[in-house]
Amino acid sequence: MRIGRSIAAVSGSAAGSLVGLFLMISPWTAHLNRANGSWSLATKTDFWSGLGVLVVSLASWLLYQGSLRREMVEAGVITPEARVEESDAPSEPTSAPAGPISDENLLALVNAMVNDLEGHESEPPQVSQKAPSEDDLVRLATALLAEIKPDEKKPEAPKPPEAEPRAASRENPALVSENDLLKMATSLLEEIQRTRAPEPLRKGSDGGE
Amino acid sequence: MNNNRRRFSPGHIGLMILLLGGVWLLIAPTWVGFSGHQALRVDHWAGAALIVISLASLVVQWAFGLKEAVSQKS
Repeated sequence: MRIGRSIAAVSGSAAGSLVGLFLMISPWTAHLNRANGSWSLATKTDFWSGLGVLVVSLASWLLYQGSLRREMVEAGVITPEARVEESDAPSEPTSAPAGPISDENLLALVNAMVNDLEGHESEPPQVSQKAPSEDDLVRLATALLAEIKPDEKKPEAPKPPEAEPRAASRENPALVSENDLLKMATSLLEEIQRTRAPEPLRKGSDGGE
Repeated sequence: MNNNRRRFSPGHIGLMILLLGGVWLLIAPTWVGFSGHQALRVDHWAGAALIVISLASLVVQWAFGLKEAVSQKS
């Protein structure tokens, strides 16, 4: 009942605004202006009268539109949320009852989004863990070092051969002194350790695969 | 009965102003002094249309209100 009243009022106001618009442009369509282009008395009267009619009818239309919406909400024809979404997306009001856009719902949505984002952020490290990570390398290195340490004793095995030169030096003391031999032995050991350290790494990595 | 019901809403007032605007458009050509021009016809037709539209809208609203009041009484 009241909706019909408001619809009649809205349509009447809209028609009035059209009349006002027509009045505004009528001086140009009916060629009421003077030959030099200046506004005639009829042009001024029609233009300003049409502008007044347009403003009043638009104001009336807006007022009736608001009351019509209120009455439609009261009658249950539309919901307030549906009205909001009608202006944005006409196809969505059917899903409007599912989401009264309140602060709580917005918070829940934001929390869900944050959780999703955090989940996505934590995934790449998981992927990187599957790839050979630093932890795996450290484990390999420790295992290899453990293997190398006993091997380090093996390079000492070549020492006996060094002892032979010592014996030789004893036989030929003029060739190399013991101090020089010791220095040479220590440098050799260091070189052996340097050179042999990567080899067990390769062996370990090959064995790991 | 319905104490919240207002007799004249702002929209009603707007329609009444439009009615007065229609009356003004009818008398404007002779009032301002450009009768005899083609503008006379335009103003008369526009004024008449405005009066008819606003009056029809007001009458329809009144009829709906009357119907509602009758249904509430019965």
